[in-house]
Amino acid sequence: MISLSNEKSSDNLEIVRRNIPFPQRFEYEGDTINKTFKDYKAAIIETVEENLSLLDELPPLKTLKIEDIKKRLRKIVEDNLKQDPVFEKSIEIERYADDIWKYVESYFREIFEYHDNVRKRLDSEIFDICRMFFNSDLPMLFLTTIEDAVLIQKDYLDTYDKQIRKGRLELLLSRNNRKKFEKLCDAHNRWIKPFTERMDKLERTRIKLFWYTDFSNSATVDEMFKVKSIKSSALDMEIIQSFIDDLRKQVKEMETLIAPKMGFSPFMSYEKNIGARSIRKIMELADVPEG
Amino acid sequence: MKACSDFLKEAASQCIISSSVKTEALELIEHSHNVIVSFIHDPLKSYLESKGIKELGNRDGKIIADFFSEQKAQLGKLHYKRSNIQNEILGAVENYVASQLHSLKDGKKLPIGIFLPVLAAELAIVKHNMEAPFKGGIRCEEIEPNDSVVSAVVIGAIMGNDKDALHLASALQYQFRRNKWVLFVTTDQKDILNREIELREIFLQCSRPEWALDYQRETTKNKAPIEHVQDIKSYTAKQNRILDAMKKAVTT
Repeated sequence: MISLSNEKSSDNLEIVRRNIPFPQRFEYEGDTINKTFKDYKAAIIETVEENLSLLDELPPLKTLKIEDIKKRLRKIVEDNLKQDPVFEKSIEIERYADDIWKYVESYFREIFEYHDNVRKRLDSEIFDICRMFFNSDLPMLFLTTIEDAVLIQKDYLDTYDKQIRKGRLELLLSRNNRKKFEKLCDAHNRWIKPFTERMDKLERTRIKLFWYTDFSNSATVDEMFKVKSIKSSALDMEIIQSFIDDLRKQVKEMETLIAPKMGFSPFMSYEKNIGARSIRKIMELADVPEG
Repeated sequence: MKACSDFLKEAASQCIISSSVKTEALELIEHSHNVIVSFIHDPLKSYLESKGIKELGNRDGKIIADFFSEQKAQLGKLHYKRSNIQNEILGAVENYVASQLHSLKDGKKLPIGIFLPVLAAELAIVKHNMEAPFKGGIRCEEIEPNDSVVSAVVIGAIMGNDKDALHLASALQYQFRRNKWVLFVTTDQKDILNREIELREIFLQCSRPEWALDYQRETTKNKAPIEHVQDIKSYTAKQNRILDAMKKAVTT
């Protein structure tokens, strides 16, 4: 069944950084009273700046001036964030995580649904990458590398959810024992630490690869993020290759980190899924020795 | 495959995948996924564009059917030896595209610029799910079987498939290094299970997933592999070869 298409018919492939990093660290308490509006505005400014700083890391572009892109990107990101309920929710959740002693119940009430929405967004980004690829002459590795980089973010969310589902009862029950509560938060912060920096780096790299490809194929800033023909001749393929190598390395590192926490996942049922059945069929045929 | 899942639900904690099996499985999944996506990307998209097709609905199957008929006819002319296999591969791609097209709601038309990427996007998720058990779902052991063990397996079990020989040699070497019985669980009837007797002679037990737990119960009644081998009074030529190879592998 086709589910990803769900009426995604706009001509925009606006892949930008939209998140305050995943709400991971638990801080025991913070000053969260009456900060709602200020937080929201500050988060938008912070996220816009984050995108602009990422732009500075792009290799030189042949067609567009970086200052023009900055102006355009600022507007696109700002407009996007203002209309983005998932972004708004991320701020609320971060506030809970920043003062977990007080908001532990709210945090666990919201986090799983929020992650489901982040997963949907990541699915939509896979679709956008496919759209770009289908209008291009880029190698298959371009597509599969970015897809893997998005999917490992979903794996991370699954791992995170699994971990906190296990730990939440203990955390909730320890609210009357400050010492134990702090200890549990410390343990949580310790296990997420190696993931946080890597996830951040990985997302930055995949967005840079997407931007470099898209912007290099835009004749004007108005064409940025639009569905259009992507030509490898407009790109420095050595730069693309180095992005791909870097991203693959980072995905591998994340896989190694996540693997021990994944637990047993049953083999996919080939009978029920037509995609799996087709892949499986070709696997069998590819395994037939020639002659 | 259901038998395999059922077996793993029961015994996942006792199962390992050798690095050679993991590598081959991931390569095959990736390759097969790429075959489908490349096909949708190039000949299918170009064909639809050349025919001026802008959108597709669940009643437009004939357009796609014509395309696959043409492809198969061309294939017949190009590949004499492997045209059957190529045809079946094409059939697998055709099944996928047909099923996705027919799953569209009545009256709904999707631009091809959306329909085709959706096919690829859904397949990326399927591929990822298929890879998951090999990427952390089941414990993987890095095993590099000694060349002499691989040769002894090839000769001992008359293996025609080099990759299978590598997987079986990995299992045997692991078994004797750890001195613990290994049960090689597979659904590969033609290349492996049909050689069950030959493999048992060289001390490797194979089983379909349906019977794996029964076989496992039986093997645990035996002495450990090294003690079992020491109890044998005279070895066959194949056993001598595998044991010599194993000595080399264990001491290096």
